Amino acid sequence: MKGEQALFVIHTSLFTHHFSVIMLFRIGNLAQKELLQLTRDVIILILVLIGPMLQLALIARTTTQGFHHQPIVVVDQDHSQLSRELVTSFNNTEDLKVVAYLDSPDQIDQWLDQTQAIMAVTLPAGLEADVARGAPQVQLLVDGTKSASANYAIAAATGAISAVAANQQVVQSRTLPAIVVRPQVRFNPTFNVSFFVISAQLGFIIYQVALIVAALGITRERELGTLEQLLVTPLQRVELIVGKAIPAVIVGVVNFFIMVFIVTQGFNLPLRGSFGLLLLLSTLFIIAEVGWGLMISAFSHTQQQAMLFVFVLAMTDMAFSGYTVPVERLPQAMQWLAQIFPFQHYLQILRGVMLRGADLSTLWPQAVALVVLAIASVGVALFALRRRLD
Amino acid sequence: MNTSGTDRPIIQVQKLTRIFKKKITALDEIDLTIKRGEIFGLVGPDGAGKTTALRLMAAVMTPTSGRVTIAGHDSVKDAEEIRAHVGYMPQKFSLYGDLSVYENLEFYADIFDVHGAERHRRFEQVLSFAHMSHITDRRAGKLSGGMQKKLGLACTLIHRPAVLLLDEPTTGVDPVSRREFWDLLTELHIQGTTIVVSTPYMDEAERCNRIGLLFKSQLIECGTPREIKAMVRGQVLELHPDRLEAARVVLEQQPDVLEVQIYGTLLHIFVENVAVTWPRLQTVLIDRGVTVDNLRVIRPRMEQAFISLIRRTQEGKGQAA
Repeated sequence: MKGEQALFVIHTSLFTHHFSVIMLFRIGNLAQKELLQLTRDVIILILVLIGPMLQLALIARTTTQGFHHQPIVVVDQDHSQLSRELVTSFNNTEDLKVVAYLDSPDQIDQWLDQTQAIMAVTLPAGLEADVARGAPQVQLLVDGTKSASANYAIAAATGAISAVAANQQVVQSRTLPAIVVRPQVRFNPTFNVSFFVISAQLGFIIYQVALIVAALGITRERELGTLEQLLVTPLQRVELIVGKAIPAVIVGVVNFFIMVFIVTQGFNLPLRGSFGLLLLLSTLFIIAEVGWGLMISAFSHTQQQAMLFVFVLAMTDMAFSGYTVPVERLPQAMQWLAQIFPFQHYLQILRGVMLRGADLSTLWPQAVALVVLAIASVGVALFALRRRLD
Repeated sequence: MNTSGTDRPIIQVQKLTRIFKKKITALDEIDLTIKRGEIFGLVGPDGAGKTTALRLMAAVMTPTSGRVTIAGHDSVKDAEEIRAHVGYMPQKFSLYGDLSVYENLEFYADIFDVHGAERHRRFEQVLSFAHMSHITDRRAGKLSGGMQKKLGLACTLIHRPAVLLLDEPTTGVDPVSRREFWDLLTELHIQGTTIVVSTPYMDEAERCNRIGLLFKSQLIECGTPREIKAMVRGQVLELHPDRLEAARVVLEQQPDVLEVQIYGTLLHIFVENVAVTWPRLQTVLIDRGVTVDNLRVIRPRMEQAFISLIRRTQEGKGQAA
């Protein structure tokens, strides 16, 4: 009875403990069981596969098509050939639609106040003549409360004006001064706002799904009572964590494939960089997020609690991601805090690889950050999960 | 009685204490020895500490003080060894409802590393043992409560544990399934498995070799069912009064009545000696206008012993065990 001291040693370390092929088998067994359960649960399947697809498709569709035919009003005080040409060019863009011609700038306020127009364009008297003299001025007055639509309208109007101005230049003599404003948008030549939104959504959806699967994984067993059951099996803490992580990572990667397919094929987002690199870094990102999910799993007592944690984490992550507010504009302390959330690093990678064709030579800081965060989050989850009921 | 079972202890519990959140004492210095091959029943009201005791034995919870050893392995230091020898079925045992009977078994076999030819043999064994060979494809969630308990037991047995710890395995199960489940336990007992089972049912307590009575975190009595029943002082008199409440009040006031328990329309009264006491009690009852019929002396049953022992402890006049 007292000759069992040798067993002491076994307990001192988490990692050296029975590290063997059997351990790998057990991890595989657990992961296999999880995946089998996933396929049996129709609601979860919809939640993790069909739901994200629909969500992305919906967002992609509304962001690419949401700003068409925005109502604008025009005050044409020039009544010249050029001013008529400009008005036509506004209507020619699919984005804007001239809904009224006003006689005086005084009328603009009421149109904007009543939100019947998003923007008012004033073409001042003597515009054509000013072009000849080289100092043309067009005033755009926009409703800033709808910032997204307003930005889009400004971009569309500027584009239309530039196009007309460029045309003028060709028609007239080459000696005339060049166009005053010549915005040049790189990587996104059409200045397509949807690229920005869709790429963020793509990352966000992949991450949410992996996080949910991971967060519910252990919590579900705890709620059902099967975790207590697993505690009396030879299953180690590491095995439990890794076995639960694998299915979540698989679900995340499958979603990644589906999402990338949808945005590149269905919504014409470019994939300029290496797909292999993107896949590799995405997997890293998914692992880091799964680590966060497992941490939630270790702390939550019920699935509802876990879902609430996921929700709070997602909001925080979103806030620090640069999606709503650029990270550079946050206070210094917040900027440092933002570094611990994998999402913002991943967004830079995602946009870099897809839109700019970037490779590791420029993306390595983000890649390193993801490696560190993946190790840290899985590590914390490992130690947070108690092997016993207490 | 099992002949292979010797008197060698297999589970030793010493001054086992568990305190939750520094103030709630779930178990208070329990001493207990369970012998190899016996069926030991833990009985007691809800909240007495049965579940905590079993969890501490199963090494899924750490004691605040004291220790548990199973076959010489300490539950804190040698938890791994204990896991290899113990099968534990928690009260809230549940299977993976979305997996089939067979898949549930496979999962536990995988985790316990039961492979090769042995695996198939054990599947057949536990399935026929649990009478489930014909429904291996059915989802566990679609089984009846009794069936689920049997499948749970089958999963718990897949690694052939020498000790089974079962926490209220038959609570919420219909009487027929309950009997079937106990027949399975008896079979395991004959094969030499040590079984510790907690139960709120007195008929189940009667089927144990020995029982321990837990009350308010303490083990108040421990012994064979016969011994426990013998601990009830005096004789039990069953009677049917026409005015139940009045009779109870009167009888409880009598100094020579040890205890009064109500069973439906019947009263059970505990007295030192029926022949001496009853004539006097009868006159008292008649004085108060209570008529009595169906009078008989009965042997104390488990349930009566149980209530009696608890009441004695509660009133603080019980002799300390």
